[in-house]
Amino acid sequence: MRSISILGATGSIGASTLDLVRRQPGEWRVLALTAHSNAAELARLAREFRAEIAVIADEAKLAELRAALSGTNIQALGGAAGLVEAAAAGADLTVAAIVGCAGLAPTMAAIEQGKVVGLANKEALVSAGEVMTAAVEKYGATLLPVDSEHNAIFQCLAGNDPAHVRTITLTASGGPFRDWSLDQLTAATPAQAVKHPNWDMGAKISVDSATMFNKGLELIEAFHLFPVGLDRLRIIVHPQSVVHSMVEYRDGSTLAQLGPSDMRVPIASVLAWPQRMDTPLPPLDLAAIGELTFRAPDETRFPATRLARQAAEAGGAIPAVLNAANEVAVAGFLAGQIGFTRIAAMVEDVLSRYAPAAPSCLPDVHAVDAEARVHAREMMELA
Amino acid sequence: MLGVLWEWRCLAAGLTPDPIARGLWNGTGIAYVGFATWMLVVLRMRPDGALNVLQIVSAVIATDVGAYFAGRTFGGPKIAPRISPSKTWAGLIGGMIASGLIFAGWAFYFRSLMQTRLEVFNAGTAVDGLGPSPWTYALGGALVAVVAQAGDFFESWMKRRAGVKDSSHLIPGHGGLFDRLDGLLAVSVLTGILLLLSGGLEAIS
Repeated sequence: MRSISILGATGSIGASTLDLVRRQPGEWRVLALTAHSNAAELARLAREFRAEIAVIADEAKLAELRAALSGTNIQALGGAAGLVEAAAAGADLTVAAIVGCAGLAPTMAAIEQGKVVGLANKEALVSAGEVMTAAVEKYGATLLPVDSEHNAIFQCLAGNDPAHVRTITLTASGGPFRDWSLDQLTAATPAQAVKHPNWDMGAKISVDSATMFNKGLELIEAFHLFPVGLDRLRIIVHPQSVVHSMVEYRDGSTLAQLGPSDMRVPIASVLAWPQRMDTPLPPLDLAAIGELTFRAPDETRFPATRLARQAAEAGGAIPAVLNAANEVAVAGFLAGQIGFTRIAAMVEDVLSRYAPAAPSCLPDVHAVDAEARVHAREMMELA
Repeated sequence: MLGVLWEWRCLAAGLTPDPIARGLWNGTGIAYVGFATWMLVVLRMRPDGALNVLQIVSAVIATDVGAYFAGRTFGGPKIAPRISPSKTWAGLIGGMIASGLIFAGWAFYFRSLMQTRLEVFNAGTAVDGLGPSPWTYALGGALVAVVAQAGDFFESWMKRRAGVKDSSHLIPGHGGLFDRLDGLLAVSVLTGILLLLSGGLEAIS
């Protein structure tokens, strides 16, 4: 029986992971579950899975969690320190699925255990890429990417020497606005942006998908996860989201991973790695899908992938600045403060005005993030 | 900083014989020196923080040097002869110019630093508005000089009231530690207040 901790258990990745764990009774011992503020749901999950530790990030909800767990011997903790404690509980597999910079410290703590970490927190590799990959090396941890694209690449690389890789291609659905003209994009509303054709996601990531910043951030992640060099990383628009990514080798062979647009597929591959396990999904019916189409991304209408590539190339603190500026800009767009096309413009503005020193530890990363947000907010007030 | 506090204690002892008033003076000293020290640490923790600390230290030194030479060259009316007989208006202006120039120099340095870090974005060509403005920084430097001199005056005033010339003899030939650091303490306090107001403290909270 393997032990598992899930950081961000009440989110969509957490729910999908627990759904699979539930289907493998007797296979898993749940060590720690954490949630941001949904104490009732966290308590319910902790009871169901007989977790040893339950952590609520919002300390104000700790009393509620304690009350909901009374009569059990589940240890209830709260706050950022509690999250780190849950991450350091020493599970065989820790799924790091806390959204945003709040997930950085717990993800780092999980890596320091030197075991297997299923990484679903984008910010970890985008903002703290160099700091984090250094820690993976130092503590001998194994990173398994949960993101569907990176998981696809990971699978396509299995058993092959990365030295033989010619290119790695990330597929992108193109988001809800992939066929819109620049004029239409200027007038796009938050309600239109959060309606994603293929995936059911939160507001922030839906907007990121519409701007293509999501793909840009994934490009930076791939840059850190698969060290084949930035010039070997490509992006292609694939509206059906059936091919999740592909790897081309020097002999001309291209390996692709295909599957339904359901996060339980990549999560199952992480849970069972290096084995395989069942998922409750209907088999892929390519005949019913009929057509798979591909086209080159248009970086004039969607400059995000260009900005991300440049940020990855600049390295140091620049990707963290890009991520922070994007988060502020997306929040501004959702609040109706700026137009859709201003998101990328604002990120580019911040990137062309603020370039702090490369972070060397986690507090540095947080400092860069906070400082970049201050600059981005100033920029937004000027707009 | 412990040395400064020790000197402060001696000065406070000379200021008043009343133990309660002395206690208040000492409490204020701990708050003043403590806040200034903490703010230097906070400044250091920010991105490029080590450079920012160097930046204000260099400006405070430039203030002293500029004030010394301008005061000796031009002389002229004194600012407050009863508190500090040696400080002239010409010296203050000289200090402001020297510190302003140092700050403007830092602005240019930060610009070139950011230019290098963003080479892939701007292909090596100069970008308008990248990094701090030298004019804003020059004004900031002048403000640093005024605050540093105010800190100087405050310390001189304490010494005069306590009836001593140097704040101590911890470093032979250099007056006291407090004599050396009075300007920097005042500037750190100002920097800290500005950081608090700008929201820059989020970075370390």
